[in-house]
Amino acid sequence: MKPLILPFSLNWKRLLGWVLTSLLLLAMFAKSRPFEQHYHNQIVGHLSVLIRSDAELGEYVLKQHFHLLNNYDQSVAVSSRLRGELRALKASEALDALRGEPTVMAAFERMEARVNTELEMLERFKSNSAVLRNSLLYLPGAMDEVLHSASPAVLARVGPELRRLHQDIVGISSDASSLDLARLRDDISAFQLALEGMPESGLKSLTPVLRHLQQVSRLETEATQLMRDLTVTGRRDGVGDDFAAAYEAFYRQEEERAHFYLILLFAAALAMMSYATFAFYRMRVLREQAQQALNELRNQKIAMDEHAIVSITDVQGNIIYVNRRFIETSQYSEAELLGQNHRIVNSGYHPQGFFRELWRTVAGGKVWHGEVRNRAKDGSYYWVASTVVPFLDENGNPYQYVSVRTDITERKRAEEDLELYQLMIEKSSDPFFLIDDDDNCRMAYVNEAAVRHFGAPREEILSWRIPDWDPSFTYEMLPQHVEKIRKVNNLFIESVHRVKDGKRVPVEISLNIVQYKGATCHFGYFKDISERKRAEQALAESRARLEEAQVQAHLGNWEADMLSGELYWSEEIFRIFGHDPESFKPSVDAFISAVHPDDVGKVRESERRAEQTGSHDVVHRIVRPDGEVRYVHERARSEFDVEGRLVRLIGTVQDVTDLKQTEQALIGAKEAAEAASLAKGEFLAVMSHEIRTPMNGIIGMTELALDTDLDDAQREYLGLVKSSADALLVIINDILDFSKIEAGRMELEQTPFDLRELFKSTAKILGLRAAQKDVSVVCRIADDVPQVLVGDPGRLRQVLTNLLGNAIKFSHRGEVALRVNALGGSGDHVRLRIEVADQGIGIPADKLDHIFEAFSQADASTTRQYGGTGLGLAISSQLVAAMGGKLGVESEIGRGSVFGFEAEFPVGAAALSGSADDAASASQEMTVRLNVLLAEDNAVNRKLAITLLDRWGHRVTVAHTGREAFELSGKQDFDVILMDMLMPEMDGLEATRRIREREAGQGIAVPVVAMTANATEADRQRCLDAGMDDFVAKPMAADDLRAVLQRIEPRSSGEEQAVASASFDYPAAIGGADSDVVESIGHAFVESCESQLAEISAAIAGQDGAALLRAAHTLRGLAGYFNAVPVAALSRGLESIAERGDWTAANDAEAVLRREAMMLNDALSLYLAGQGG
Amino acid sequence: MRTLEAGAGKIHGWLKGNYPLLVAMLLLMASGAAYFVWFVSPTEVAPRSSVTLTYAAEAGSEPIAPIPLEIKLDQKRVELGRRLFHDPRLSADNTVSCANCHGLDHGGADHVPHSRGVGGREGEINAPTVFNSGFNFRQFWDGRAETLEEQIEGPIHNPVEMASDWPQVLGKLKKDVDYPRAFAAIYPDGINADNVKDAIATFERSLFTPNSRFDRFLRGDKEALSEDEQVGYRLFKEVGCVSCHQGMNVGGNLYEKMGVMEDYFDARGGLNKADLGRYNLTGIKEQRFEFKVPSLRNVAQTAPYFHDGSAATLEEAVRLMAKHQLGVALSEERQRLIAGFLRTLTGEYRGVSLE
Repeated sequence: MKPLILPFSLNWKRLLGWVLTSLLLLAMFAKSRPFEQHYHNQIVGHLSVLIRSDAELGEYVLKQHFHLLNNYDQSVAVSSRLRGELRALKASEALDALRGEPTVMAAFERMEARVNTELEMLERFKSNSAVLRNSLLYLPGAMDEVLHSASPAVLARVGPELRRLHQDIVGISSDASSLDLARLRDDISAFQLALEGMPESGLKSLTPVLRHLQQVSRLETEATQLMRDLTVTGRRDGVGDDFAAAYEAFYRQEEERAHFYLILLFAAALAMMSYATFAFYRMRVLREQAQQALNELRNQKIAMDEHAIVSITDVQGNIIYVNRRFIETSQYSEAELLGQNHRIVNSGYHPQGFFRELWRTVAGGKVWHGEVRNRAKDGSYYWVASTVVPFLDENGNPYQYVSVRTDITERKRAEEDLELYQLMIEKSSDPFFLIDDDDNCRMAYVNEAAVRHFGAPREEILSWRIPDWDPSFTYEMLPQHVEKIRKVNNLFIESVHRVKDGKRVPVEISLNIVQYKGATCHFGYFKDISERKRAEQALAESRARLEEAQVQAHLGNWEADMLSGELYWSEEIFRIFGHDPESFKPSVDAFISAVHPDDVGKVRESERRAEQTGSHDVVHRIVRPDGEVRYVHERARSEFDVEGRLVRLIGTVQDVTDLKQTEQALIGAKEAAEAASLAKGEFLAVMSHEIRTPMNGIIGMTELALDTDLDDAQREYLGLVKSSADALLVIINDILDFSKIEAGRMELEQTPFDLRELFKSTAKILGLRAAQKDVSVVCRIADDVPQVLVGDPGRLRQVLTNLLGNAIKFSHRGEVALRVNALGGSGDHVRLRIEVADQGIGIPADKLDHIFEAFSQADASTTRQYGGTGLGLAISSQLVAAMGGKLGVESEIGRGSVFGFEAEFPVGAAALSGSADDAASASQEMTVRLNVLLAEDNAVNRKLAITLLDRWGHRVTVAHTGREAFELSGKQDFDVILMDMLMPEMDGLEATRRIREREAGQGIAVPVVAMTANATEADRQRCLDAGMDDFVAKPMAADDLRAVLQRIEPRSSGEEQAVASASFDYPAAIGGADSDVVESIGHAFVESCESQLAEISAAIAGQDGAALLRAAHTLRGLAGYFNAVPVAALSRGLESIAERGDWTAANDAEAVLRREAMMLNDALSLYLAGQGG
Repeated sequence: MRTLEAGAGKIHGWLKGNYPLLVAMLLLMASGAAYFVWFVSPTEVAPRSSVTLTYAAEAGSEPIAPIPLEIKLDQKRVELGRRLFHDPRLSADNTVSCANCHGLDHGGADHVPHSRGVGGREGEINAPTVFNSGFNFRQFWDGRAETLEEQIEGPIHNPVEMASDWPQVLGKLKKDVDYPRAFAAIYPDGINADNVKDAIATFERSLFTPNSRFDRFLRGDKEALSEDEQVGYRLFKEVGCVSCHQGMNVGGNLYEKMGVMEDYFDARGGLNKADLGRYNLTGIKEQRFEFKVPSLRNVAQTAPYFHDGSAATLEEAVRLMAKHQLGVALSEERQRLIAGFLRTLTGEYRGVSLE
């Protein structure tokens, strides 16, 4: 192995070199630092202040000296600043940093000393200046005084000197710069000389002058000198200049040094960097080279170890090295192998001589090759191709043997396998063969099974060419066939083989081209398929039969894969859908597109259902490609996968077009019939309505005619007219009802009614008719049936009338029973069973089903015999159905019938006051006289209404149109307006609306009663919406009209008011009166009542107002004793009639009074009888 | 062409292989450049300030300026200083406080020629007033202290005054229940000599006396001075007093020899060491008898006068000063007028006149 070449190795010399270089760099770095910047700033800052202060100080000194300043405050401030700066500089770190610089420090000390000197000088200057100033201030005045006031003797001695001095001093005072000290001094000396020998008296005033002059002379010199020294201009340099220069020199020097070392440092750094770059690059290159060599070596070893099993032994044959593959192959660990002999892997397969030969060869220094079978640790064998190489020493003697082996176990095993496969093919029960790939196509190999198949000796077969065993080929075809086989590479065909005895066998042949060692041959096998052919034949026949069945039934089967959308159709489906099976590819989408667009939804829906229910069943249309529409019936069942998704529909399609066409024809016929029936109903409804209007006139007029004086014949005829008209009206009403029911327009009321009253009155009316035969009508109402129910009493009565009427009609004797039983109920409802039983002719069983149909009686002959429209039961049945019941019948011929139904009714909350159902009772009631406005355009109806209203004592005003009614009602007060609905100019609804609008501002509302032939609930509602209060149906029944008018309250209060007394309880009233009074005068009343009434009748007959007034008044007084309110009121009514002389009303009033009075009489008699007994 | 491309490819390959090296070199160069820019770029030595001498014409203006009406000071220090100023524990035997000799009710001084310290020992010199002492350019008669702080050292250590030392003083102050907290509130380093001095000096700086009648006169109130007093002021200037007693503090900003025109001590007699003045400090012969010219503010309240307290009245002091310093003999009338003027220099401390 080549040693790694490092670019340098670390020995002590190199290490020292590196350390020294680093130290050098560090030193250079340290040297490259300039003088600390903030120290520099400090020094420069202090110095500049110092220098400025020094200059300023000079300025103040100058000012002071020339008397430009009169105090020292500013100079004190500047000097203290100067001192302060100097101290701050001295104490600063910056100056500490300069301690090592003697020149700079010396300059600083010089500066310090100078500043101190200067400050001391300043103090001296100030002191001097003050004194000097004082003297200069003093002298001129003092000298003046001497010159003016001194004695002439004195003046004579010193006058000139003094005058000269005066000039000097004034000069100094006014301009110090003009001072000539030498002259002053001379002058002073002269003055002094002059003073010598002066007498004491003369000196007295001159001594102070002399002293001041001497001061000036002394101080002025000094002061001027001090001023010069203190001002910068005077001495030409500042205190800080010296230091500043020294410092700046130092600083520049420092800067230069730093700069120099910095460049040096950079140069060194660059050099080192270059060296490092070079070293790095060299190291890289060398490392790569070394790495490459190493890699190559390793790869070689890997290649060797991967391929070969390597071991090395010493000359004794002991293993001293094994590689990984050796260990893996032998399964022994390295430890187990080292030091061992190779016998450890000896399999014992080879004879002893084999190894002896080996050893002899290698010991002789030659290389040995051979194949050896070894045994691994687990006992398995492995083959190796071994090469043993002896390594020879200088003497040519082997000192090591290197054994390189290749594992050839696989090859050995393959050799063995090949034998096995040959055997397998040969012994296979399927016939295998091999054909030469040349134009001869000779059989090159056949296995035993093929030999058996052909039934010829193998040698013979191996001489055959294709046509020899396959009659479908000729020798001429061979070259072509061979080409074909070569092209396709493999071939799968069916053919026929000629086998022994010339028998022909259908076979299936599989043939592959096999390339083997450069040669091409065709290897294959064949199979006798005789059995399969027979099965296919049978299947084809079965399929044909199914096909035929489908064609005949127009039915096909299909399978749809819902995931892929693929669809299988049997042939018949193609025919049904009009597609050609060859060219058309069925799919779910194609199918959907064939579905008639209107039916796609239906089909989808059915498919969706199929996802849930599993079954698909739908009839729909399809459109064939030629546009023809067909009906098909699809049925299918679904298949789901494990997740429950619909994966497949398997079903059938049947062409049901013919069936469907028939069905639609039937439906059309049915609809036509229904439409005709509806039209008939409508027609009947209209017709009966139209008929009713004239009927109104006939009946009304007949009634009026019967009320007039007639002879017997006329009365009989008119009676017949009336009964005929009544019968006709019944028929018409039936038809109307029926058509209403048919048209679905029947509406039931929900009003409280008294069931017993209703049933009894109905029974009673029918009883009259029954009485004409030998038939009795009984009414049996169970006690637990509630008194008041809620329902439509009119319709219920209609049903009962019909049933009872029928029963009576079809009975000739015996009893007709109306039975009502309560079957219980829940809460406020009661369930009733209502039956009508007769002992009549009965109904044949085969007719029972039909009798509730319209226009049907038990048989046509019955109709002829008994009459009737045949609508009655149909109507009743429908009405009962509308009430929630079902009309049923039980019957036996000759024994009678029972018609009955059950229905539930709400129970009414309160007891009803006596109803006016009984026709007879109507005439008993008292009405109030009303002022009536009648609006009616039809003359007949108008006449009828006027007659009725007149008869009842109402006052009638007539309007012929709605407009007239509206106008009249505005002019006059009416108690009620009877309003026809249909009138010219303005109909009843409009007129009513207008009236209501007008009234809105007046706070009144005249009751408006509609008169209409449109007797439906909706019409009624329309009337109420328009503001009407009530409603009478036309043709107008007198009773209806009367009932309506009785509900009207008159607007005019007064005497015409009477009391309706149909239900007045006289016994109770008498019971409530003073019993003594009743007993004392009761008998008298009973006895005189008749005569009292007779008196009234007589008075009315004689139209004797006074008599009537007297009689009515007496009766009223008596009635008052018995609390008989109606009698009293009616009497009072008669009194007012008498006063007015309204004799038309008197008769009616008298009749009512008579009835009431008789009732009072009866009750009173009973009461008195009770008292007496 | 091909060789060129090959060469380019080689360089490119090398660069690719050695990019860390390249980056390192670039970084080094960048840092070098930065170093040059930040540290080596030449810095200007600040130019020597050129001073423009302005000779403002000040003729006509008065030589005396009024005391400012207000001076901003840290009131907490002032208050602490006030307590210390009045605290006798600053003296050795806890008997003498600063206020003993500089009573604020005695015009900032005492009314004896020489003050008495601990044990009743007599000092050698007259106590100057503490009022307006902050305006003086030096402290003590001989100006040996430059600042008030420095001044405090004097009496503390002077054996005839407080006769104490800092360890003693600080020990006492630290034992006090209140001082440690009061100091801590102002000075982070609590009680020490510098802080005690700072507090007292700050208090002393607060002892300025503005708004004297004369100041009001200077500020333009011509009614503030009577006619005589105005005449006195004119004489004060004419006779020459103002040569030394000028500036805001009417003196206190220069030294002058006692007896410029006529020997004072010879006339007085009994020369002692204190009479030598600045000579005691500098040893310079010429500075014998030199003293700080005292402020004449509140002078009416600070009798007796001079460093030796020898002049009992203002008139006497005016007379002696005119004689010895100005070489002038003043008539009694003039003495009276000048003294009258001097009385108008009495100012107010905290709004109250010192009179």
